[in-house]
Amino acid sequence: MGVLGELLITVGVVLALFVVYQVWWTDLGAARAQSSADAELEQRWAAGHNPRSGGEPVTDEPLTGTAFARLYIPAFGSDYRFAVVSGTDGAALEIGPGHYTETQAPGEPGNFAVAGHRVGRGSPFNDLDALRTCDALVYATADEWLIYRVLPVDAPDRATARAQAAGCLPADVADRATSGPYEWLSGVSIVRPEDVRVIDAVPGHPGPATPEMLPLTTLTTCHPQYSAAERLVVHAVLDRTEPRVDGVVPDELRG
Amino acid sequence: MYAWLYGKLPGPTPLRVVLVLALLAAVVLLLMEVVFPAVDALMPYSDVSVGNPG
Repeated sequence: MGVLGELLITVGVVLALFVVYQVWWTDLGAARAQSSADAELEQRWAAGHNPRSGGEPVTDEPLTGTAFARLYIPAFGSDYRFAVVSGTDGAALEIGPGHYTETQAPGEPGNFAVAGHRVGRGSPFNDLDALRTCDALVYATADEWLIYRVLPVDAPDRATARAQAAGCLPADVADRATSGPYEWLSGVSIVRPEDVRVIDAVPGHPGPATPEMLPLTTLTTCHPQYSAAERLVVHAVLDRTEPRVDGVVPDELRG
Repeated sequence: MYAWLYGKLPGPTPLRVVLVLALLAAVVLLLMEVVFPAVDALMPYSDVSVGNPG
C-alpha cells in the first residue's frame, strides 16, 4: 500500500482516538480529580476546619482549585453531584465547576457565580438548558445546605413571573426576585461571552454587593453545546438554608 | 512506510511484535496525555466563563 494510503489511515485512526479521548479519557481524568477533590473536602469538613465559626462570613477565598462546596441538581438525577472548586481558570475547571472568585460566597447577598464545562471533563453543565422555573440548585458547604430556585424562565410579563416564582419561593422573595433590578432576569438565558454583567452582584447592574441584595447563584457554560460563540447562563435565588447535620439531607435531595 | 519501519526493528519476530505493541502504547499515551489535551484546550467548547476572552 502506498505511503499516502498509510498516512491517510493513520490520520483517520488519530482522529478516532481523539473522539475516544473526548468521550472517555477526559471523563476518566475528571472523575478522578472530582473524586479526590471531594474526598479532601469531606476530610476538611469532618476535621471541623470551618472558617465560618462564630457565624462570621467567609472572607478568604480558598486557593484556586480547592473544593469548598458541593452542588446537587435534583432535576438531573439523584447521582448528580459535583465538588465546586475556587477559581475559573483552566486548571480549576479541569476538576469541576469553579467559583468566579470576584463574586460572592454561597448564601451571601449578591451573586455566587460558578462556571462549568459543557462538554468533556465530566460535562457538569451539559444539560443546563433543560432547567426550568423553580428547579432546585442545592449547595452544601461546611455549615449548611443552601437551596436556590431557578428564576422564572422567559416569563412574558411581571405578573406571570411573580406567580411562577410564588409557586416555590416565600412570598416576599418571589416579590423581590421579580421586581426592581431583578425584574427582567430570566432563569435561563443565552448571552455573549463578553457579557460579564451576568455575574454582577445584581446581574446587569455593576457595583459592589450590599446587604439588602437577594442572594443569587449564577451558573455559566458555553453555548451552543460544542461552540464558544455564546454562553448559557442560569440564575437562581436563595429559597432557604438548613444547617448541615450528619445523616439529614434537605427534602429536595430525598427520593 | 510501516513495513519499512517494521523492517528496521531489531531482533526475532516475537521481539519485534512486543516492540510494536510497546511503541503503539507509547504513541497512544503520548496522544492522550500530551497532544490531545493541548488541542482540546484550543477547542471552542473549552470557553465556559464570561469575561474578556483568554
